[in-house]
Amino acid sequence: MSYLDDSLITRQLHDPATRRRAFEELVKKYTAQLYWQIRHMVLSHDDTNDVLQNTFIKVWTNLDNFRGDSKLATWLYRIAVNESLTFIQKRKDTLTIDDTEAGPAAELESDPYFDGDETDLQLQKALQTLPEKQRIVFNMKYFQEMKYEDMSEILKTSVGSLKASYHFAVEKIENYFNAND
Amino acid sequence: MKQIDLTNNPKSKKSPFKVPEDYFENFATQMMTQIPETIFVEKTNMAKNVEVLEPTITIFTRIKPYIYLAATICGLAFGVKVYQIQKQYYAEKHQTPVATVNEAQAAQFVDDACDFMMIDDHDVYSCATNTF
Repeated sequence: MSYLDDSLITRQLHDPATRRRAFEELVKKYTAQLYWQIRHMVLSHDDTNDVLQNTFIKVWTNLDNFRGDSKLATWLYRIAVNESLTFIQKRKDTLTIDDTEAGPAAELESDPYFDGDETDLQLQKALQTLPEKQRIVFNMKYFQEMKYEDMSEILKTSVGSLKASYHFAVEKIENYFNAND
Repeated sequence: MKQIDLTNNPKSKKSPFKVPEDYFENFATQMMTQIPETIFVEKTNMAKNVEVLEPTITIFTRIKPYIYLAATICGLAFGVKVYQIQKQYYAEKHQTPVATVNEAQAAQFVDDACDFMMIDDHDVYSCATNTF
């Protein structure tokens, strides 16, 4: 499916007459990309659906604040990451001690929308042991194959720091697997 | 357990997550139901065959700034009036009472005092000149 160019969508978003139509185009174009970004952070499909909807609602209500200084995709990813982090923080605040020990990765075993094998499950559990920033960088690089330059714009962090974060994340995951072998 | 391969080999990293059937296809439609509808009046320019969309502006929207301005002026006028009334009230409340006594009354007071103390003009003179 072919979508409109980002610059055209941006122009139409700033025109009240075409705003709604352009927003629908934006939703269609970026739903899958943002979904997978959020899904790898919050894990459950239902939670991802909620966060994705909140993300687009936030995009809609803040359209006037987007002046095109950064790329449209970068702006959308930044909102999606922030919404995911807010959701994760709220979930942490409401979890009991037992839930915290198991972590959201433990729920994947009974999740109908998770069809990974034992290794995939262990990888998700290993990811839950990483600091937030390393987990985000790992997901973006490993699962979404995002360039460090794009990640740098989204997360407002230097490329060097992102490379270091990814390196540490990989090291910790490998250690986790070695320890659980 | 199978050893994890983190070497960025695409074949080794099939996403373990699934989505419900037609989720992405239906998401936009579902999402747009949550976005508030903007009311547009559609005008068709037949001569140019160009479709022009203009937002409807209600009378209330037009006069809203003037209503706000009038409300602000009324509020200010009311505030000033209340301030003036309060100022006047406190001024009256804390005013020092001043008794006005005319010359005849003053003379009468002195005469009454002299009678009460049983003194005459001579005593008054002696007292004033310190000669008694």
